[in-house]
This record gives sequence, structure tokens and C-alpha cells, in this order.
Amino acid sequence: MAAELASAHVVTFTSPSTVEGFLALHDSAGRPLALPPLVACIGPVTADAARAAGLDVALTSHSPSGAALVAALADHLGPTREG
Amino acid sequence: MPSTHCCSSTGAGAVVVRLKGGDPFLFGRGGEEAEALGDAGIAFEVVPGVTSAIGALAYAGIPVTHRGVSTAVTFATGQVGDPTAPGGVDWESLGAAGGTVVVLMGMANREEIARRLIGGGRAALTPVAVVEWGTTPRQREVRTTLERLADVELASPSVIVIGEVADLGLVWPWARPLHGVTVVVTRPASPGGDLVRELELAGARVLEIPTVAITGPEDGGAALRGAAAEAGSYEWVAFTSANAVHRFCDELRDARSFGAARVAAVGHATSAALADHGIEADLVPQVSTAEGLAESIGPPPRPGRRSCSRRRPQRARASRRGSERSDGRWTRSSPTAAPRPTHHQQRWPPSSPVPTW
Repeated sequence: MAAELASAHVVTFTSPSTVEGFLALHDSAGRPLALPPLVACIGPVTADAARAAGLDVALTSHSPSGAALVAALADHLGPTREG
Repeated sequence: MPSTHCCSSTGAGAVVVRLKGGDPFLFGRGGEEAEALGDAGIAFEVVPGVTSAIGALAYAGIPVTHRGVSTAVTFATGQVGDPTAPGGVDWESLGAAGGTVVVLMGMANREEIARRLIGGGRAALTPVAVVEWGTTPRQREVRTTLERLADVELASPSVIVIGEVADLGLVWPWARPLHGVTVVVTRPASPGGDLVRELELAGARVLEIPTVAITGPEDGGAALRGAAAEAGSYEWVAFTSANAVHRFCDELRDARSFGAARVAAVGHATSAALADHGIEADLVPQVSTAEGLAESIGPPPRPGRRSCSRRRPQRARASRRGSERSDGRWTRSSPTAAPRPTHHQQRWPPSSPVPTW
């Protein structure tokens, strides 16, 4: 899981407890898991929790639905994204 | 041998489906299996599929033929040293012949393939595209030239296309705006997993790492059953998650138990969960927070009336002023591992490149 996570581009948080839970995870060697570079939160409460935990929140969806979060991600990454 | 296995299984009276990726008759050994079945006198049917030699390239916006660009296409196996291939592939002749060349299973021998095509007369700067894990959310692609094919750092399974069509990048992959992006979903697997579905529809590769376990209430559900039985005695019943809706409604013996109570839902997923149980929310606050809910519900209920909400303990901040409330802690979420103090956030751009097209 840790290896797969290292190649991930985005992590989504859908509640403050998912932020807390993610930061509590660790790999088999006991190291905290690497956080993907782009942090996306489903609403302002979750985003506040992520910021309070010291994360750099790149985007927050306007409404708390999967579709809105996906739309915000697509907007953020944009049609001309560069690798 | 798969064909032997097919024959012995059908011989035992079973109906066998031999499911293959792509098309069974293009480098799929479907012909061998059909021969073996025919020799054994076993009835069979072949259902053609879409070969990755066309499908994977389509998902990269590349047609194998294109009017005015290429009017011929050759499909070749890249297993150049395969002793079962009579004569092997005459790459030099393909190099001289022109048209599109699509190579399956060619990554291991890509250097030799490129060298021999060029040796046969194909221009060193001929456009080339390599599509790895085509059509799947893991799809990645690289555009290059024939002379630089050996430098492509993709792995199997990959489809290689050589020819002018490899310069085309038709626009339809835009319909999948997260194509090639890997997204971690930290939500627990539960009803209302619409985020995973939406992400996959948008083309993303989803990595599910549930970080929260939803467990039953500490009191074994006594308070929940009590509240459900008395739902009609409340002025409002408010739900803050789809999970809470399902737990509550599981305890509800009769939907009429709500009586005159009005129902509020925080978030559309929550109201959709209510709709699944045949309950239309009276109120979905515009701001999907406990505070937004308190604002929307308005002044405290009349004396003698009660409100009942389901919320997580750590988020209980918006207190209802002046009203009696019953705070049903019906589900508990807890981190799935012991807390760790430090973490490391990677920088954008990511180490794993997001493809462009």
C-alpha cells in the first residue's frame, strides 16, 4: 500500500475524521505514510481540519458530493495540465 | 495448455466460458483452442472482442488508420525470438512497406524492432506512441520517434504504434478529465460510495485506503432504538451522514414513526440516503455543516418540543440554544491505526507524472 501511495497524485478527504485517520497510518516499518502532493477536501469543515493538521489544501469542493469534488479536481488539474 | 483444460472440462459435462482480454483471434491463441475443440468434437462459439491493438490506441486518441494519413495497418507480435512463430516477423519488409505498424508484446524487444524497421527503410523520425495499460484508469502514454523508442520507460502490457497516426491525439479522452490521475480515497467503504464511482467515471485510478472504521454505538444501540421509536415526538430529526440514515432507518419499524417530525439532512448524499428509505428531507441546509443546519432550522422549538440530531462527538459545536436536544451518538468513527505525530506531504508536481495528450 505504501508503495502504491507513493505514486498517487491526489488524496481526498471527506470528513475531519478521515484526515485524522490518514495521518495516523504508517507503513510496515512504522513510518508515517507519504501524503500525495495534492490534497482535496469535500467541504470547508474538512478543509479546516486538514489545515489545522498542517496540510496544504489545494482545493475544496463547493458542495459535499462526490460529483462536486470530481468537478473541482478536474478544474484544478485543468485540460492543459503538464506532467 | 488452456486448450487441453477446455477440452477436459467440457468433456466432464460442464459449460465452459474461456474469457480472454482483447480479441481471441489476434495473438490470443484462440485459433489453437478452436482447433483443439474441433478435434475433440466439442461444440463451441467464438465471440469476437475488441483488440487492444485498436482499443488501447483509441483511448489515447489514435486511430490506426486515418484518411490522408494512413490507409494500411499491420499488427505484429513483438516476441521476435518466439520459436513458435514460423519465420518470425520480417521487420525490414514492414519498415519498407509503409502504413501503420501496431506491435503487441513488444516492449522487451523495442530496441531491436526499431533498429530493424529503420534498417528496412522506415524514417528514424517516424512518430511513435506507446500506450501502457490502455483503456484502464492506470493508462499512461508516451509519444516519441522511432529512433528513440528504446528510451521509453513504460512496462508491459503496452501497445506500440509506429506511423504518422501516432502524431494524432483526437480529443475524446477529454470526456474523462481525470484520466491518468491516481486518487486516494480515505472514506470507509460504506453505502454512498459515490465518490469512488464518480472518480472512476472521470477516468481516475482510485486507491482506496479507508482510514476510519464505522462501528456500532457503545450502548449497543439502546439510545438509537429509543429515539427511533419516539421519532414522532421530536420537532426535527436531523441526519448528518448517509451512514446515520441507514443506521437509524434500520431501527425504524415503521416509516410513519416520524409522525409530524420534520426531517433535515446535511449534504446531498445524506438526503439521497433518506430518499432510498422513502423519506424526503424537509430541509437540506445550503451550507453543509452543523452550523449551517442550526442556521437553517431557525429559532428553538416551542416549549415541550424536542429536536434530535445525530452527530459525531468531535464535531458537536453548533449548540441549539434553548432547546432540549437528544444527541444520538449512533455511529462512532475512529482512526484505524494508532496516531503518529509526523507526516510528509509531497510537493507538486508529483514524482509520478500526470500524462498529457
